[in-house]
Amino acid sequence: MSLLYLPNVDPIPLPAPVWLFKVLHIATLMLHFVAVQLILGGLTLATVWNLFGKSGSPMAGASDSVVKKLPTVMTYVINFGVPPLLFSQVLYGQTLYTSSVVIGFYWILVIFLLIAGYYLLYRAGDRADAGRSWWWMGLVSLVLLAYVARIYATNMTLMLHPERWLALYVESGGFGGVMPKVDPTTLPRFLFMTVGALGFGGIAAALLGQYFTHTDDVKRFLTRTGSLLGAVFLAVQMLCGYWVYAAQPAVVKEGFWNSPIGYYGAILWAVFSVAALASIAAGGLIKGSLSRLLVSVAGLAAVLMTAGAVLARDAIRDLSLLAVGFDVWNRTVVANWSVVGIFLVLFVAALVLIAVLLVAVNRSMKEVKNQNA
Amino acid sequence: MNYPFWDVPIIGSGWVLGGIAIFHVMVSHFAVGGGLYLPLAERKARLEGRDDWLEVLKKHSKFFLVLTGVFGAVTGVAIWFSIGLANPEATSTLIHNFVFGWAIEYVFFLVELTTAAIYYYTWDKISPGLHLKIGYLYAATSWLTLVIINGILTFMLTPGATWLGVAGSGSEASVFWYAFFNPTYFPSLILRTLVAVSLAAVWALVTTSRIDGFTQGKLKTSIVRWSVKWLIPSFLLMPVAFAWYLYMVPESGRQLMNLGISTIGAGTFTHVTRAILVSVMASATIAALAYFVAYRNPRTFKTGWALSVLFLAFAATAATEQAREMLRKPFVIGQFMYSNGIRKSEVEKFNREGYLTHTMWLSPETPDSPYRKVGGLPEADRTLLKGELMFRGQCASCHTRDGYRALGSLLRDRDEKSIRNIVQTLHEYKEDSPYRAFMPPLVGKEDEIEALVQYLRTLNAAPPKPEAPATQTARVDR
Repeated sequence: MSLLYLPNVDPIPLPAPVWLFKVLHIATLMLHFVAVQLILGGLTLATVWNLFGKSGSPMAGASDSVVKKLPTVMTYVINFGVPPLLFSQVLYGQTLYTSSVVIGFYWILVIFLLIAGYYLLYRAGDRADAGRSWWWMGLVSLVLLAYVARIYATNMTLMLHPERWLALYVESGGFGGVMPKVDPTTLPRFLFMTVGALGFGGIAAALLGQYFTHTDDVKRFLTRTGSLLGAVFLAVQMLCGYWVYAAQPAVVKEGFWNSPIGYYGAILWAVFSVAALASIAAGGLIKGSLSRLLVSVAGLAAVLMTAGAVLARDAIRDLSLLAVGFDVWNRTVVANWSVVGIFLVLFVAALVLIAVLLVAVNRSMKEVKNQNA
Repeated sequence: MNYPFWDVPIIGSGWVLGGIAIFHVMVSHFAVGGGLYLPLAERKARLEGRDDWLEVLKKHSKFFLVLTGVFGAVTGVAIWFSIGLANPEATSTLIHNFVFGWAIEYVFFLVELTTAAIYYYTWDKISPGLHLKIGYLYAATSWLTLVIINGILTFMLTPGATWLGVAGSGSEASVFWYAFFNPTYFPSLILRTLVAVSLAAVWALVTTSRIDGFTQGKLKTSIVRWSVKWLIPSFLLMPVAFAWYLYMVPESGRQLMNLGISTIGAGTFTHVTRAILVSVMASATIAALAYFVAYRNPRTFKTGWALSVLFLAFAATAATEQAREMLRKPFVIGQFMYSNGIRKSEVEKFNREGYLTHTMWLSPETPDSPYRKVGGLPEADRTLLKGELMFRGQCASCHTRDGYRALGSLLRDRDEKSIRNIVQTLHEYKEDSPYRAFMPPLVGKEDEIEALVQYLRTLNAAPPKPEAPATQTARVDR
């Protein structure tokens, strides 16, 4: 197909090789997706438990325990969302800017939904601290955040379809207030994330039960119920994963298995999905220290599973764009390694600093606790 | 018109960006200044054994965390969203130049958010010494985010001769640091740091004003007075830093301001002069309120007063940010890209080959879409359609049809000949043209310029107004 569909590429060359941007994009997107699934899944489970749990019950205790962690998780949803957005603008700016303008009203709406949803998480946490019911706040926040996910799924799909832009742009009068008609891939990718989020939420609840201080019955509830829900929704997510693949156009499906990123990504995702499912199911059934080990393994496997899904997603995006004449690898590069080097050194230093800080804080907390005891 | 234009009615896409940016500046600068205020106040409280101060600071840190985390961080992301929508071409240029500058800023942002959360959640749970160190670490990383973003913001006003010398050659990355440490970098960094410190005081006054002055008079007096002192550095150093900043601003920007000042007597301020005057007057009023109301009568300093100070700070911030934008006119990236996304180097090409021939949005080869049917429309509608695209591509970055800087109002009472004269003046863009100080050249071939004239005529016509051509076309096609 003709490149007439696409805006012209920016004349300034890329300041680093495409592969480096790809690595950075994929690594940070994986972290973002983990955080996204934790917030959506954690909030759903906590809201339902708060709604149905009677005051003083393990269910209510578990819901309060989860919701108090969610503002911090949300901080990292946003923080980890920044670099993938940055790197995708470098690599896919021509398509991403255009599709964003075409649904401009909805795209900017994301911000206001996010602010409201995030703020409600703090308020819900405050109410939980005060021993008051908060499920309705959680529900509103969940609806807002889920709609953000819906807009994202729509835009990330629309950016792959330049042939749809003009008609939508004209129909909305340039304001971007018209959503595209449902694409066969949008619903499965939305469900893949949201169902996966429930699986993640289950695993996270089980981890919370294992690693944080709770009464015995709350700990048991978090581990058992979290494990059960984690296993069930991970299984459903695997079906959604196949649906995402099956819904792709023939040209993408044909190229997918020949793409190393797609091939290894899909295998990574499938293997670690099974590993996560098996270990969380076993972790919920077994008691004692082995349960803690299995739940931890499930958490790690879920992260690696997400890494596989992100790789497969990347291959699908590149193949879809290649079909309309956009080759992300075909870019002029004039690198400035001094700036890249400074970034990488600072990035590693920041991670080390945070790790040192967390260790120091943890140690100090124990000391203060002992002093007070 | 490489990218589609985001056509926001009434306020225009520029004000979506502007509104978000002003709010973000208020909160993000507080994140920097307030980040220093908290550990220094905590240190003072611990040294003096003021437990009552610590209780106030705990509440203030919760307010700080929610405000900077929820509203500051998200509106920071919002700026990316809105600049990408309002001016994708300029955003792309900035991203291609500074992607690793932003990446470095992100690293500091990561540590900043982490330390902010730890600082709040570990009050009384870790040793005071470690808690203070975390506060200082937050302050340092928060300021470092400003150090980085300041390079990108000032680049837009003064990219510097070195970067401009290689712009368009493909070697832009080789002069990254020249572009970053551009002529206005250091004065702007000092100015922004001072603003951050003063905003720490302004927001702290909001929190401390809620203390009951009758039952906790001593506490309120000490903490309100200590907070007011945070305004002193700004009021002492700001004029010097501002003078330095203006000295580094391009001559054209200073001329625009001087023009406004020299014509004050006639009542014809330029926009930039009005904005600077608002900023100065609002700042002076803050100083007066802070001293006469807060410092001298701290016990009766109520939340209403504190909110008034906050509102004035908001007005000063908004005006200053707008003045900065206006100083940049007619460019979005100084001497490189005009505010409508057209590169200075592209003007000749567009005049020679046509503006719309280079857009996929109205190319004869454009794939199936309503615009493609332009060939089948009557001549008059076809002209209006082209004129509307010219308007969107070259005028709508700064003007709306009938809202902010409405062309409908600006061209009211002008006949076709008069409109054509203005448009031609902008197209010819002669050295002595008065519009050169703040408007980009109008580019395109003669038929495109004429199409714009015809479209602009529909904007100032007496009601009922004709429907927008694009909508008409879309309806024809459905």
